[in-house]
Amino acid sequence: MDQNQNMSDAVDRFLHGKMSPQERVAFEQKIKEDPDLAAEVEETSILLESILYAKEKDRLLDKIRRVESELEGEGFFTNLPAATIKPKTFWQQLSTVNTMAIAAVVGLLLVALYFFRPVSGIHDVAFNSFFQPVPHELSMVLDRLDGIGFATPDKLREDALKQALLPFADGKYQAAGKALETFLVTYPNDPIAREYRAISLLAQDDAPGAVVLLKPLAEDNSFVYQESAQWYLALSYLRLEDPAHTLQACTLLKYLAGKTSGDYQQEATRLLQMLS
Amino acid sequence: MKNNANIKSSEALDLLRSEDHEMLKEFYVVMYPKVLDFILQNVGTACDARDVFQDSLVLFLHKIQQETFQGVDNIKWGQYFLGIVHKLWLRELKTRRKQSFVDISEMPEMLELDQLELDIALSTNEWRRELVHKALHQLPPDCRDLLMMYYIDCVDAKDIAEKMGYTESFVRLKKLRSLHKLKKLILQYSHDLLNH
Repeated sequence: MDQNQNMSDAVDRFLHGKMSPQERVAFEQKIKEDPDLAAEVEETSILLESILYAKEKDRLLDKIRRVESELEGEGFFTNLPAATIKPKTFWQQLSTVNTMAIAAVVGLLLVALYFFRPVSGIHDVAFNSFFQPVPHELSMVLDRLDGIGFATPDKLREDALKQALLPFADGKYQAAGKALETFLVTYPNDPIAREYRAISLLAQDDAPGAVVLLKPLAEDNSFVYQESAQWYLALSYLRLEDPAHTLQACTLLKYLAGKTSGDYQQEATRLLQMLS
Repeated sequence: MKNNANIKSSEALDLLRSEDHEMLKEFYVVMYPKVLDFILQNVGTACDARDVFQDSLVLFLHKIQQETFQGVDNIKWGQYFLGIVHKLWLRELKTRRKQSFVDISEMPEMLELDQLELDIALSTNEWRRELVHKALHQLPPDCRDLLMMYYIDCVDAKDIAEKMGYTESFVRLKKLRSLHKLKKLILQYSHDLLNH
């Protein structure tokens, strides 16, 4: 430790300009000859510069916080309008004419919802009538996972996914959710696990959590079960029970209802009918 | 309140550079709603938006106060500032991804970022400084105070010993240990960032 301490002290004195001219020349020569010492000097110099910046940052943060606290006192933060979530990919996919038509339909739906909501809890009724935690394709997914042979490089992963999905087939959504959460720690990008985790969240009434997971999948054209993700995203939006999200749900439902050979065409059409 | 155009003028830039209180307030009023909108659309909360806004504003002010700052040419200030916001939020999400399953690659808002904004936003030095700032605040207060006194205020070990009630040799030892702790924390944060 003594040797380290002496070296560190010398470096500090060098960087602080506290060495005599002779001592400095000798130390500079040492730096040239000793790569470890050169590295130590460079590292400490960078650290010093960063520590200086840290002090400056604290000073600026104090100033900024004073501005923020003044704005807080004026009610700036509480008076901000709620941010709107825009599903851009879907809007971009639809033509202007379709968008206008949808906007008109949705406008009418919102008016209808406004009148129906206090009386019948239309969101609740619609959601409970249509939400099935077992997607159409679950058996297909499980069959595919069953069929994977030992030669498959991802065998371990597929087995783990199958084990996590099995409780779904038995209606144990909470258990399935936990198993999928664990699976996702190791395989965070697995789209199927993300979709089923979202559905388990929705089954446990966590619609905001489901939206976060489903939105990217619903917009991903390469995801093989994209329609299913869109359907459950629409249901999640509906479950949020506010006009902005209801509008988004209706946009998605209209999109699914318009797909003539779509897996969720019939459900989407019937749900739209119920909402209107 | 002044309008958005004012915030783009060179006079306003000078006011910001000098940390003028009213100008900073106006900057908040114009830019914060955009930041809030962006963070809420990318799995963040209003609380996150305020944290990211503060950090981004520090970086932005630091950048425009540098003598080497050449302005942002054709890029408007707003975009430039939002470029920094995007960068910082991306980094935060990368860190959080370790603890959850947030997948930043699938966030449309992130993918729509202008590459130019990304390039101008932060240099390696600035990332390092941010790491050091974070690490310094994680150090025990006595270690942090000692390092600040020694390195920033250039107080001698002997004087520090008097102030803190230690012996001079213990101050030297403690300074070395504090530096090691700081370096360890910086390494840990760098590792967290690089392993995503």
